[in-house]
Amino acid sequence: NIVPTPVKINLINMLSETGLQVIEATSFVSPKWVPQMADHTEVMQGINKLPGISYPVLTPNLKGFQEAVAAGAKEVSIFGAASELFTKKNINCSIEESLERFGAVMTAARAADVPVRGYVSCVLGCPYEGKISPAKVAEVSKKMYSMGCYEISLGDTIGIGTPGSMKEMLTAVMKEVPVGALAVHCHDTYGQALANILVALQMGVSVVDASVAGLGGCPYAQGASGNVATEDLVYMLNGLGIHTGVDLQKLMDTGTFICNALNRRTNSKVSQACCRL
Amino acid sequence: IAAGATEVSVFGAASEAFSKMNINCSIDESIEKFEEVVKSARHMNIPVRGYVSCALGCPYEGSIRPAKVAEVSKRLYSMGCYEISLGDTIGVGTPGSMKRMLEAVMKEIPLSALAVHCHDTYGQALANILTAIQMGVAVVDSSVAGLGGCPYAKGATGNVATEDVIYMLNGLGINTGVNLYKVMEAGNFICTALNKTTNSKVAQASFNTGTI
Repeated sequence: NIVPTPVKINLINMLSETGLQVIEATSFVSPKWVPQMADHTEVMQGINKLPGISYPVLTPNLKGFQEAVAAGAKEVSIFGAASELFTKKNINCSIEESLERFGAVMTAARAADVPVRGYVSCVLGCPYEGKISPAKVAEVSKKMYSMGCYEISLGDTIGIGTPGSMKEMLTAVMKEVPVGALAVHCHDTYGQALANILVALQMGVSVVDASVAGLGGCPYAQGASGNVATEDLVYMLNGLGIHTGVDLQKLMDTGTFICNALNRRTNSKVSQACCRL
Repeated sequence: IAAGATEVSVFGAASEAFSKMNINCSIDESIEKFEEVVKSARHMNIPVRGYVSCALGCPYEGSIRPAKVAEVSKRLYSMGCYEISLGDTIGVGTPGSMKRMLEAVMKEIPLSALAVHCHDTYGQALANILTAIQMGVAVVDSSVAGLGGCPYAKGATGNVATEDVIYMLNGLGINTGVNLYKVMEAGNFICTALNKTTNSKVAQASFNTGTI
């Protein structure tokens, strides 16, 4: 069941009206691995690109990078994992090999003046390896940062982390990468996302990834579901007095749109609560 | 008492409107009624716990002042309640409002006599509980499978799920002495009996990855 391209384009256009400044638009991965993203070029070319908003795309290799730039992408993301097994299962190579491939992307990106963001998966646990050492996360993060990524997004891919492990992991990573270059990407599979994000904020992290209506997961991590819902995150940030510039109502409307289009319930509790009143 | 209870709880609200709607009298009147309960309890050596509802917001009044919460808490504590459980009845609170409210209440009541009772209606419960723990609160109310709400607070659903709280406390290295699997089994039992899905994400995740 593949989401129609016009629905994706409308979703991104609606998100562009909410005040969000970075919207990850699509992924230039091979349609063989992720057929749901086969329309990446069409999406990239079809969305309204508002000034002041960045629309980064995922590029797993040089070929994907070249296609992304040809399609109009002005920022890209690469990804690695703090787990060998996860890397093998996800992109069919070792961590070392994956970073080598990215070397080619980094060189091309530098030449084209395209900023690159780096994702590290499994930072608080891996569906195959189990526990992940904070030192390993720091090592992979440092490599990607040294390679030229302007920001490293640390992902709790299966949502297994807690404020305890988040603190431990960030403490290790912050020894190698400046906190201003760090972001967190928490999954809410065990309901821990907002608590984990709060800890990250307390430690100085100021970039948080989220997904409207809490959509999305990872096809390669069995049982993994649910990014943290942007609505619930913004609700918390508002309560903390942090100015996000995001219009929560417009965000909820966007969530309603995409959930109707997908014929599914939202994963956002804020959205659920507001609809009831 | 006749049925064998050896501890009881009384409750008040930090909101006049909620008090009126919930038990049909003012905060003052409700506290007067409780004085009788607390007096009898003292004679029989029965500990009494006090609940304060709407500590972070009211479905009728909206914003609730931390000073009001502190005032009601202090009255219940002075009457003889050994512990005051501060309830975010409709789950509207955030770490920001939780911190402000606790700061006010902690001026009147010792930390060791405080507990938090967070609802997860807006998904904020664990973050709010974490904030309370960071401020020294050591007693947290929850409900297995996240069951329960309040019939008098429209739209209110979902106590925070005990399983999810335990998961977080375990991750923080706090020794709860609670067996998470047994809690999940209890949750499974009651959800089956009620024919409803659990509100606990930990239980859902464990089910999805075949851990149960």
